[in-house]
Amino acid sequence: MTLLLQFLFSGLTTGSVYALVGIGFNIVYNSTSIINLAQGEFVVIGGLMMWFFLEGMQFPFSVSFSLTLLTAAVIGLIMERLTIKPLLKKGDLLLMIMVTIAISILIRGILMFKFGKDPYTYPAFTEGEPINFYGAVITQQTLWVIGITVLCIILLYLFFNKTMTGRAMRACSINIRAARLMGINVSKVVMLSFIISSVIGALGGIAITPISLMEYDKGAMLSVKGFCAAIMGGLGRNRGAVAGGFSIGILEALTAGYIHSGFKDAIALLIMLFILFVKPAGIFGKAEIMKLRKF
Amino acid sequence: MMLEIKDISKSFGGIKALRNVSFSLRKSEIHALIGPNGAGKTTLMNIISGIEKMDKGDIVFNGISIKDFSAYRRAQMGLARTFQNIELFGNLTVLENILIGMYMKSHKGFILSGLNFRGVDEKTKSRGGSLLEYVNLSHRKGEIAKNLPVGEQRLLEIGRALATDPQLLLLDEPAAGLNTRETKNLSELIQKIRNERGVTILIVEHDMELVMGISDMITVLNFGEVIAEDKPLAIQKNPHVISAYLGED
Amino acid sequence: MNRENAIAILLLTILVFLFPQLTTDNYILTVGIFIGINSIVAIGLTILMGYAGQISLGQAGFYGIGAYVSAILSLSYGLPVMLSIITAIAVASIAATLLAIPSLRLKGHYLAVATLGFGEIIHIIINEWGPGGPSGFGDIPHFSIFGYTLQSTVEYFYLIWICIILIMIFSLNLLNSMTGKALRAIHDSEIATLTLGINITFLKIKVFVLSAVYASLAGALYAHYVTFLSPSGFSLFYSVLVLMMVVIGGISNIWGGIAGAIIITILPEVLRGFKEFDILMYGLILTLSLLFMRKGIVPMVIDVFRNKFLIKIRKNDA
Repeated sequence: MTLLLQFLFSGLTTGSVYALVGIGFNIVYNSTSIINLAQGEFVVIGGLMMWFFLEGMQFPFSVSFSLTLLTAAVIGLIMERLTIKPLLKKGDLLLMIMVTIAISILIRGILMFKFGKDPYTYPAFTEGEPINFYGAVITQQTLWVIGITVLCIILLYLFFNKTMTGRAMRACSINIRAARLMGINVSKVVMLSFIISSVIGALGGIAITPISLMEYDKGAMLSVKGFCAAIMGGLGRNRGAVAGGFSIGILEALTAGYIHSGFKDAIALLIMLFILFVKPAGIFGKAEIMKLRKF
Repeated sequence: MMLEIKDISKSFGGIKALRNVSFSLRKSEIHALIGPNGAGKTTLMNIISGIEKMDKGDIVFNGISIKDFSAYRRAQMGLARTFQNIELFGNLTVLENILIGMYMKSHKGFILSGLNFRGVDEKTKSRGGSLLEYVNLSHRKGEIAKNLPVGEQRLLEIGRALATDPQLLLLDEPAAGLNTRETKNLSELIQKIRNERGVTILIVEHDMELVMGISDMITVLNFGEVIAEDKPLAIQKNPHVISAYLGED
Repeated sequence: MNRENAIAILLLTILVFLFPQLTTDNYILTVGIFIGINSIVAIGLTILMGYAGQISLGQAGFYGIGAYVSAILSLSYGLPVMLSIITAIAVASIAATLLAIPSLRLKGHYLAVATLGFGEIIHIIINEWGPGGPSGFGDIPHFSIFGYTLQSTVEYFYLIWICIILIMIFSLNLLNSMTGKALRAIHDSEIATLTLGINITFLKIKVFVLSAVYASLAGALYAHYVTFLSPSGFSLFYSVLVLMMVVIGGISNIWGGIAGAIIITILPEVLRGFKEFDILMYGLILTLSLLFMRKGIVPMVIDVFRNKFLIKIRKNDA
């Protein structure tokens, strides 16, 4: 029982990051109908840049935190302006997929060049004794990770429902042509969606690195699992991505704990293939929404 | 009966595009489907050819219900069509467009194709050539299809459909964008196809002169419903048809 | 096959037979062998992407199946090498068919991720269950045919490149046939292709399986040449490398697969000593070629050549 609880919490922790990556996928998908396979790289950027500012430059925590998010935002912005924007209007799906792959390799290459192949970590956000919860040991950082994820979801909900910009972005996701006719600057929406999704990814990276360490090549797997979380919940739906992320995280933790740690990664992939083949609209998604999509 | 449309209904998000549409085509007749814009003609064409699914009803082709067959199966059974918004293979040559029409009768299978050095065999090519002659496009043989003027693109689409050796040919506004002379040639071609090849033809068309000139039978659709079915002369006098076209309701 | 391609095949054949006469340097021949192995995988993906309009990020999976199945069958079960290669290709084909049937119903993005998922699952399987696990295994029998076992680098060079010549002949014939024309037709209008009685899904499945056959053949040849296998060469990164070869070489021409394989295989050799640079270089090359050289090298060279040639003819006419 204690063991199970322990697995559940560790699953929720990694699941949080998958959820954040999944949300990143959703935001970009909603505004462009493309899957940004570089999404996972931003988690790595978050972890490694945070280390760079905090440990490398010895900046205070809040400064490092802000600078890391800023870096991610700028990289997202550059990525969108330099590669996505000029190519998106061609409407070539194959090309868009390849571009996001190219960027992910580029980011990975830069990170490896800068940081090498070693794993990095830094101290947890707050010092203090782990909490004992019915025998399961929960570190404070675990609570930070889950807390940041929850906060992210709430803030995004408020942003998309209460602010003008957020509503404009939602309008684009429902009907991009109508949105354009209504005078919404679609190009800006696309740009913003890349910035937001980059920042969200980086947040996940910043939070998880003290627990699970970060190295340059973690991005690909994070992308796959984040995508899996996103399609599990029905692509484009943020609450779905959260449910998907948590489910995958927990299933992985249980597989690693009770079966064999080597198969941990296979779980998400198998779930993903199963969903794609059986119910591409996702477990919580609706089929009708899929039909409206260009890609 | 060559084709029986039985009680077909179809709606798009609450709007009824077709309501209990029924009519049939006799073998080797030219049957026109007319009606004001938005009457559901193209939707019906898409349903017959298997590109769109219907909500309710049945389609019987040569005595076999084909409603559950996919588009390519229907084509293999002898049902061919052209498109209102021309759907040629724009980057292929005129002859190649025709050859694709002959694919199902002349392709050799994946592995044999890889072992055959000659590409498409001469017999198929010469059959394609004579089809081009049949639709008066021999002089365009090697040109890239998208560079043809609209009139010739429409002819090429008909030629490509004929290449499948159809029993039933659906023509979706074949005269759209054509000038008077081209329309006249088209009407001759349609009659020639019926007379020489015995192909049954279902034509959707706005050009009334063309429709009245060649059709044996006309079905009139209005707001997704059949409002009349008769011979051309009778249709011209039918008060329902006249009011539908004048747009009284 | 048209005349230009027939001439190109002839030139390739001559080149293949001359090459080992020009150099006896084992290092260069070895690089030539790896270029060849990568070419086989890349040719398959070029056909899939350029002609069937599908993307696969799982070629490493088929490559891995080819290598591991053939290696295990010949090493542990004593099957003759030829027979184990054929079996490995059959296994990969079945896997490809099973993957293709549901995948090809999906839209482009989903297929990309589905194949990626498949490739990674294969990687995990060989990592966990493959002989030797993550550290791999050796002593795989050398390639042998009619009782003759190939030993020297030159022999392997010939073997691999003869395979490529045969594969190119088969592929060019296929693309020049009715089937190839139908594949090009699908690009222009999927709906029209369907209404001409062509089963598009079935055709795409066949092309997907073909790409898997090529990849698994390459994997098997690799296994019997190197005689040592470890899972690291069969990860997602290999799939991405192959994708890079195809993009750089040009997806609209299957010679592009070979051109891309040459560049991507030689690159790390050139960059030796700058190990920390190579991923960065890959990323830069791929990004830049997608942005500024979208057609790829081979179609671009052909365009330039044709333009010059045509201008010459026109001048002569005038």
